[in-house]
Amino acid sequence: MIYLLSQILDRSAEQFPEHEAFRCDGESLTYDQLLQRANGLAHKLVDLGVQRGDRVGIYLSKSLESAISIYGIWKAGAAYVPLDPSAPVARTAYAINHCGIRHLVTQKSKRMKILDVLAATVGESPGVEAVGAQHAVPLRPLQCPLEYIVGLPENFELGYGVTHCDWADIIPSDFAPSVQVMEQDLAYIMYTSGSTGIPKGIMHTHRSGLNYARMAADTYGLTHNDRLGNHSPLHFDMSTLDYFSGPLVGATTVIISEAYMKMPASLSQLAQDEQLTIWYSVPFALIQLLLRGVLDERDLSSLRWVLFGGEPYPAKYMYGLMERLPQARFSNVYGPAEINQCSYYHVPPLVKGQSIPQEVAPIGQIWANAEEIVMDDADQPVTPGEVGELLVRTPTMMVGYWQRPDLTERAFYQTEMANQTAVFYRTGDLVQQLPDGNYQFVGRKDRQIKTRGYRIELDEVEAALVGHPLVEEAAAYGVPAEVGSHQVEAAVILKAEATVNERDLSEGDLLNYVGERLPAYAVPKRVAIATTFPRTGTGKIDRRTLQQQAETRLANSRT
Amino acid sequence: MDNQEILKQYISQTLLNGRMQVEADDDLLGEEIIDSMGVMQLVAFVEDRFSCDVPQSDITITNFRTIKAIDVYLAKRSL
Repeated sequence: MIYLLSQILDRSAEQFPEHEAFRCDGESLTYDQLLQRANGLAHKLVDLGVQRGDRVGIYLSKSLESAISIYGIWKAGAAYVPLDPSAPVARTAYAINHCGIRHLVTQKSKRMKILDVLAATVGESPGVEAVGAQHAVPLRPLQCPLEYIVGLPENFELGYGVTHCDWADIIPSDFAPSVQVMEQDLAYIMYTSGSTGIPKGIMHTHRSGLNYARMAADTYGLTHNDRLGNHSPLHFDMSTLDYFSGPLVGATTVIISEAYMKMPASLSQLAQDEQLTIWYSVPFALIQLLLRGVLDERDLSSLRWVLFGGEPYPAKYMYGLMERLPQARFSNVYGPAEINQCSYYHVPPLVKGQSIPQEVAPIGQIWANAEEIVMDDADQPVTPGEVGELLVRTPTMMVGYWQRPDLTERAFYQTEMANQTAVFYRTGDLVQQLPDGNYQFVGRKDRQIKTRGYRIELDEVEAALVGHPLVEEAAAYGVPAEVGSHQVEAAVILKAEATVNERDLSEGDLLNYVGERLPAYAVPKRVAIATTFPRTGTGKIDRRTLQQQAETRLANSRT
Repeated sequence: MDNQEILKQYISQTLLNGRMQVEADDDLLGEEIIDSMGVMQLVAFVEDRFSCDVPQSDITITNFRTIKAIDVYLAKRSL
């Protein structure tokens, strides 16, 4: 019986040693090679002092090393923390400090960025003060928490008392180090936007991760003959299907490097050449595939499942792609990163002559080994068919947010069920049950929006703007951008005491300021410097009006 | 001004807002430089500035990974 995520690899390496586990940019690793490389990394980490429960950072572009790192870190008894290589250094430094990351795995191409990250971990970088400002984490630790970095060339000077080795120094091994780990141990921590402007770390255990891996593999009938396309970067929770469920069944996961995500014609070529059978991405990538993927010139008949999630998939584009890929089944995958997945909806194929429905696909029904309550604002269950917040209880659920007991407590709801205490996760998603029993997503309870599947907390964007010394008030709002994507716009009022010279503050200055603090997808496309805001009767900023004005402006500029 | 210079200026100044000065063999499609919206803006610029039509099937990694690659692509088209 396997009860740890790392045992996924042990089992598949025994059953399918010569089968390709991962491929990337023409290179590959068989299950046996992956096992040996992961064991080697685990030995290195243990020799360096990594212990059960430690957090080891992964700062990598999508590559074969991503897979080696995940399984190697687990085999050392530690949890992996995927850090977004494109995030501002202040944000990365915050996660390293907050999570107490002593060991980091990276690659040569990140060497200059690593120097900036190191400087930022000790507070020598713009933005650090703002990212950590309202939180109890020491902002300027006396020394950088990082001790050791794997993946940098021998002769490279790091400073800060941090030592390192190259990937070539890691010796593959047939055996993993002996460490005591059980299913309740932490397996990974993913940082996501927090509404107060501070990212929060979602903690998953071997138990929650493995439960997800099994349930997803079962739902889609994955086998060792499948070839999964990995679209999502490691710091995005959708990557867990490709890194956990694929290896669970001995399948091949094709890691799709960053450049393909921007070039739909190349992406469709890769899907054809690699004979992908499973596609799992945000709707944005599928819309791009339909509009710019030159599908007339491609044969994607190997695809048997097209899975999408992260945000609603506009019906017109979903059915458009279904027409182009008639042999593939389409399924809507639902579940916030805190619970991995809890429902799915297999989209029924259109019958001949049927007109294309206008509604986006429902999120489906909560799967068997999980249960839900839909509640109103007073924590009372709603009558079926009414709109309410979806709460889910599932063995795929996180244990909480890293060192944020306050946020963890607010995220969970406890009640008595079947003679025991049951813990539900409050998704913040408003849903409505349809007469056929499926749930439809209708919106958010808070001010979170999604763009290309990424969560943006509008409150966090405002907090970043207000962090600027000359900004008095800020309002951020989402407006539709290209199909399947949103963009943030914002308006600010400057402080009255700003001097005449300071009033020369430009939009570009503000954009650069927030660009050092927020991930690129959350940085506003536009910041208007206003003298007044529309207000509601109670004096609050009327963000709805600002948003409508922006939408009207965009609509006019398009015609 | 040659094609590479024109592209360098457009990408550095317009697409990247002066955030960074790109070189002819920088990987434009890595994590840091151009996102998928940027790619579409770049293609529109190429079509406009060099008075050509770039079909979807030509918008590939091979043709657009670097400024040099775009230059090679443009030269091939004018043969």
